[in-house]
Amino acid sequence: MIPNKASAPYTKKVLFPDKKPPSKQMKSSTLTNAAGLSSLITFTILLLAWISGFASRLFAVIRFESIIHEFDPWFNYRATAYMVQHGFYNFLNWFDERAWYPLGRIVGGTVYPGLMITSGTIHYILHSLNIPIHIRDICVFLAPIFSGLTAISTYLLTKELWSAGAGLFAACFIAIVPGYISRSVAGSYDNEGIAIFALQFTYYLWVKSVKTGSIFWASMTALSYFYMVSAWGGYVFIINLIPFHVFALLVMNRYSNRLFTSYTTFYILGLLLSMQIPFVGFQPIRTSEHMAAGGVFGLLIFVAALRYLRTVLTKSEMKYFGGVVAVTAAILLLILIALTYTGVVAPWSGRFYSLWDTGYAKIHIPIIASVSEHQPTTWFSFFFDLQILVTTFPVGLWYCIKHINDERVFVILYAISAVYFAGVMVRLMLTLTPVVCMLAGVAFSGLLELYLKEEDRENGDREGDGSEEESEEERERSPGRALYDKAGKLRRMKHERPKGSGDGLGANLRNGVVIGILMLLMMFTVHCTWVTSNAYSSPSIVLASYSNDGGKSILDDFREAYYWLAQNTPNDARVMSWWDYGYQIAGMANRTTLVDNNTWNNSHIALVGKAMSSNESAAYEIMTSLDVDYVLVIFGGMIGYSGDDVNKFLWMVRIAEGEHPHDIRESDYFTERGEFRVDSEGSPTLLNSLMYKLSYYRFGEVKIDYRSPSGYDRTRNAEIGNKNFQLTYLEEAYTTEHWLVRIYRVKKPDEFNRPRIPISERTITRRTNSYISKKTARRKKGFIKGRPTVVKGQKPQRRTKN
Amino acid sequence: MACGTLRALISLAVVVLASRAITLAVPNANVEPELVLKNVERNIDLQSQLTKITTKVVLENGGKSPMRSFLFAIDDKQKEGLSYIGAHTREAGRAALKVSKSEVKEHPDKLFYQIELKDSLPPGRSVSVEVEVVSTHELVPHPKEIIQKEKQLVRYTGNLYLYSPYPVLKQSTMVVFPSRNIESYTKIKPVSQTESTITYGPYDKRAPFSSEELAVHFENNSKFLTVTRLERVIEISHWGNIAVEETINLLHTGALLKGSFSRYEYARESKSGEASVQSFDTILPAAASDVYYRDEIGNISTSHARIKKDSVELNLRPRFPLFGGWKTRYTVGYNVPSYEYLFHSGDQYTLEMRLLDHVFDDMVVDELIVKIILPEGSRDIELILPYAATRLPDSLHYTYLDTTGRPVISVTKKNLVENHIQNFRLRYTFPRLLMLQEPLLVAVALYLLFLMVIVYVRLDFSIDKDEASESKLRIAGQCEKVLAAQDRRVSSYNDLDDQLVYLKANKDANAFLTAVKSINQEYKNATSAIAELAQKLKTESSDVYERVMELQRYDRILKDLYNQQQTLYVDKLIPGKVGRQPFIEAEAAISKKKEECVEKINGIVKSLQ
Amino acid sequence: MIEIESMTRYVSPVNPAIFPLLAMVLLGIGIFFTAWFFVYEVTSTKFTRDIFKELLVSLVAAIFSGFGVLFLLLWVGIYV
Repeated sequence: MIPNKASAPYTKKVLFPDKKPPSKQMKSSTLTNAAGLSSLITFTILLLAWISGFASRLFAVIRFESIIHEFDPWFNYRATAYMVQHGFYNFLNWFDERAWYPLGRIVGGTVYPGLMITSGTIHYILHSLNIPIHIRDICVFLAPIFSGLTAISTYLLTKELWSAGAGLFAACFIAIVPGYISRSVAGSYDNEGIAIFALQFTYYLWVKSVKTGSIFWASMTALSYFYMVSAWGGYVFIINLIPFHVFALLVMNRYSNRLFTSYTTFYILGLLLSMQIPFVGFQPIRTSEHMAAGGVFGLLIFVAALRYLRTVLTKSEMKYFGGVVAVTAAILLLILIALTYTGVVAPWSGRFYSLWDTGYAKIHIPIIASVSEHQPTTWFSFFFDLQILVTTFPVGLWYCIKHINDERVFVILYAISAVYFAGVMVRLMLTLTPVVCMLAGVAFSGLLELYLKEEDRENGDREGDGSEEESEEERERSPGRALYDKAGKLRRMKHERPKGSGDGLGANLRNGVVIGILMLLMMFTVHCTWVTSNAYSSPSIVLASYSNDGGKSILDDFREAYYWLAQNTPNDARVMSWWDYGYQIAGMANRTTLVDNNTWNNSHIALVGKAMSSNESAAYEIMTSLDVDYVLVIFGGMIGYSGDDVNKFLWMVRIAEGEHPHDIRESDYFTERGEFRVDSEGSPTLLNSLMYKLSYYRFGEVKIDYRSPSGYDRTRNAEIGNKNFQLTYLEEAYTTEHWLVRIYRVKKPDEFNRPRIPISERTITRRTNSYISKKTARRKKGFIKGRPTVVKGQKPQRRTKN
Repeated sequence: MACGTLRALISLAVVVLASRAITLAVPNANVEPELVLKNVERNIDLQSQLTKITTKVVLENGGKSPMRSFLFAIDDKQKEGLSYIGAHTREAGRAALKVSKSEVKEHPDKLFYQIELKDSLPPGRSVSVEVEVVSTHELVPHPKEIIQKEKQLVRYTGNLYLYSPYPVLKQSTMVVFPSRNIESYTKIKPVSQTESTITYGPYDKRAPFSSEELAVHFENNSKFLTVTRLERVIEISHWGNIAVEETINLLHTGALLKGSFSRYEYARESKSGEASVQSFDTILPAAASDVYYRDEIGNISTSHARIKKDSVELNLRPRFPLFGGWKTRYTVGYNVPSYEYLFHSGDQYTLEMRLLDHVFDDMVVDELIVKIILPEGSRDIELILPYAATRLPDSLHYTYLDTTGRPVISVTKKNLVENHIQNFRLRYTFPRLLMLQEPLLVAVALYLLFLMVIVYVRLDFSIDKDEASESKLRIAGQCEKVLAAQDRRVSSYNDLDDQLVYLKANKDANAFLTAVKSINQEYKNATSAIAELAQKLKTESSDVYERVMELQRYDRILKDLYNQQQTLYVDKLIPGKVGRQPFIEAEAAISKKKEECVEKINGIVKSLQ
Repeated sequence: MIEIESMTRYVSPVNPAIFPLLAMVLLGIGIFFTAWFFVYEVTSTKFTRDIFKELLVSLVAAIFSGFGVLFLLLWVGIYV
């Protein structure tokens, strides 16, 4: 039995013998033990953070269904399903002939396999326990589950950096912050979902190893880093930030043997392990992005050697030695530069350059610039994704700077670099989010520590024995706080409470501040839920529209089209579409695509872009050379869906122009006044391009409502300019219910390569051929004469005939 | 074309195989020469994709002996597509007659069914019987390909006469079409057309096995949908649920779509795509709940259920309209409570369910596979089928909380129609105690987990032993025990306090003394426990030992004070030997001393924590 | 073999309507004991540990949680 509690009733009971002691007090004393209580509370809060983080990511599943979202997740899902079906080694050797026709793709060597291995392992374990969960459901729920692990590793990291209370705050923040939810809702089965966990956990282990200087923790860091490398290309962030941390510590003259042990162990193990990932291969020793780590490794050894020599050599000898060091460093740098020039060490990649110069991608790599998540971040999205945290994290940063130590240097560097990168690219908001949560946790914990701890002492003075019940309520009110007061609280005896409050903070001020903080936190929660619900929980392959009376209708056109492709086209049919839909076609329709979201081959994409931007006959040549059987376009003009192919068309033109500047010119697609218009004033090149024709084929006949003219495009709010045209080389194979996806079949040469006959007659002749004899005679009559049928007032038909 | 031939070959092979498989069981029969068919009325219903031929026969026994049965022949053309044959009497009640396959020595190449009459037919008498034959895939689209706008025309070729082993004295044939649009039909007089029916006959006497080709070509826009494969899985849980899941592969077997599909025309023109199938109704049992409708890539959102009195009608819309030659695949599943279909008596269970359920009206199922998953540990399984079907080898199925696997009974059959919606019965034995296996499995797994924790906390991986902290921990452990004993002492004091208060109020000394006896016993135990622990502590840490001894000393003082108080109460207050004022003073003095003592003890207790 | 006509309809030994209640109550008790068990494991030291108490508490926790999990599965529609 645990005693501390028992002594309190003892005193009370002796003095007030008529009060009956509650008999349960003894039994529950185990739970109210200090260590037990704190671990129970910590555990409960982390569990709740996990549950609430998991639950708030389920909006899409509840509103729609358990389905993989968007684009990249479909590839990951397909690869995972392949791995589960064929085994890990076959997955590593997988040559996907269904992508990048006719090139194919070596999937095993061009993918970060961590994600697939993670869900494959879970699948394997569950199935060996006879739990028949479909791999799709594992993939859908993987990111929400890992968000809980992220929360826990954030807790651990913050605990190492500051305190357990701040850690709990940080864990709660990261569980629900929109900046992270945006990449980890259920169904968003992407690398980032598990990579943020790996990132935070690696940092935790790194901080731990710097603190302890133990090889064990450093090796764990390397292992965790290995997991991160296997999971996400963002591992480059770790392999630059950790050396940066070491470098900063060296500069700040904070060298220690702990640092030396942990970094050297981590670097060597991490380097070797990271090279085991096929996709990474020899990059860690051959590309510029990884050079900093190596340089710092050398520098650290130099410093260590220097320090050692200082104990051996005299001062004058040291001076001489210093020169040697400088010369060696200069020579090494020169060698590195020479290696870069000769091409042994690859220079920085384009994506890397675009991190320093935001305009770089727009000029040199339109395909990177065309992705919306590669745009610079707006101020709005900082607030949108982080809300109150974005204003409080500088406070935490300030606390860290004020109470600096080795590991806080790390978090400061982490914060500064992440803020920079988040400013450059919307997508990198993700790496900023964890550090913001941590520092905001530090800030909130600092504030509450100041304002709640004192109040408690006063309370105890004034209310005497009532404080026991009081504190119970307070603990519920703010979870982090319970950790601060518990130590003093439970052991305090009535007669030895500290008298008088030290500083001059009034109770009203305190209450006001505490209430204010609680309000802020509450608003933060509301904001997070709202953002998650409205902005980040759309699967994007299933659209929902709400009618005026609040009824929800689901537009399932994408799956309708993909399933049609899957069921009613030959198994080896090749589908041409813009690269955005490549993964979805492969994943849902299981058909061969020409280009997909992997975007590794710019010229191939440019070829597809060229086909889409050319006129029908030029496109037909490209399409036959690429063996295209079907063409798929997304058209939103019928229902006003703005993310369709016509709106993306200029990027196709730009990318095509990059590779084929003689055939495609962006300026041709604008009107003379430089506008991009689809109505009758639009440029003729645009109105005759394949994309335009495929999008608007027979749309000119559609009247959406009585007020608007026929062929009124609701996305671009214009009446289309080219209405009555026919397709020569393609035919409509399928159009979905709301016209969102249109699939065309590319005709074989024998299907159109004959004298051109007016459409009105052509259908008749076809029918004639098949079985009705009467009409055959009539048609033959016209044919024997061997000259065009001249119909009054149909000049254009005659012209086409010639 | 090639496909059609292939299918024909396959089905032929299946028929051959099936007939061979059954050969042993098929009884031989003879064509009774005395039997004549006095009147035959045939009704060929071509309104759907099926060919339903209803033949009303009046039999006459021209022989000497009574007859129990007669033979019904199927002509060669019909053999392939024959799906169902059934017979019943035409009297009130329409009692079903037993139909079985049989062989006739004289005609080894022909297919016969023997129909047993309800009562034997005496010589010279006649009886009227109705025979229903349903065949599939007999309506051939002609032309084979149509464009979206066109109507679907089909051709039927059959026999104008009843193909019978007996002479037929008089017969007529009526052909019923879905609409009045009939392109052409065989004109063998007498023939007449009214609205959507064509009537042939009556014809006079025809010899046995007489045949004349009947060919009709007409418009038929009804649903030419074929379920190419239907997998029906029935999973029984003894926790009160039966889960049914049907995976259905659909193919539009009408005229193929030629040329392009135009969404514009499909949406705007009602005439467009008449032969296509946009949706159909599936009827589920009335108790069905948690219905789902999905395929490999997720839910199909375009469906809705109408709950009717005796059924749940599910309106299913495939993701896309089905035109000729288009196919799709989907899964429909639902739960029904076990009391609807499962019966028991002790550990004996019988499941009575439909082997095939409704998919859509006038459906054709090319291949049916039924799998019945029984609870783990079921044995003595016996399956009774309503009609002949192939039983596949049993297998095992593993799902949640399974160890040895659940037995799976599989049955397959080809070429089925609505008439095959009949019940099967499955008997098995299941010890009810086995139901506890699942929760206990979880409990054991959890307990193992806890045991692992228990073992884990006892493991010590450290290389060197830290004596100082070890001893600290040991002392802390002893202190805890001391404090626990002290706790017990405290509660004995509290009890004593209570008793004293009680005594003060009702002045019952005897009751008090008996109560105090047990309290003191408790107190003594606790004190001796502390003394024992103090001895152990002596070797560990003299400091703590000192403190414990001090605690003991103060406690003795406190106990003395209690004794004084007790004496004051029992010896002075109760007999009334002391006045009110002195008593209050004495009590106050004792209380004060007690309080001081308590303060000291508290101090020591705190230092021990 | 007994014929179907003489058999009674089979209903679940536990009314499906109380699955949620059972799941919550049993799991609640199970979680309480689990928490107690783990807190005990965390707070007790090598010298204060009582193996019988540990085994007993964990046994109770395991049995309640085991049945709780079963009814939770049944509640969510996984009919084991």
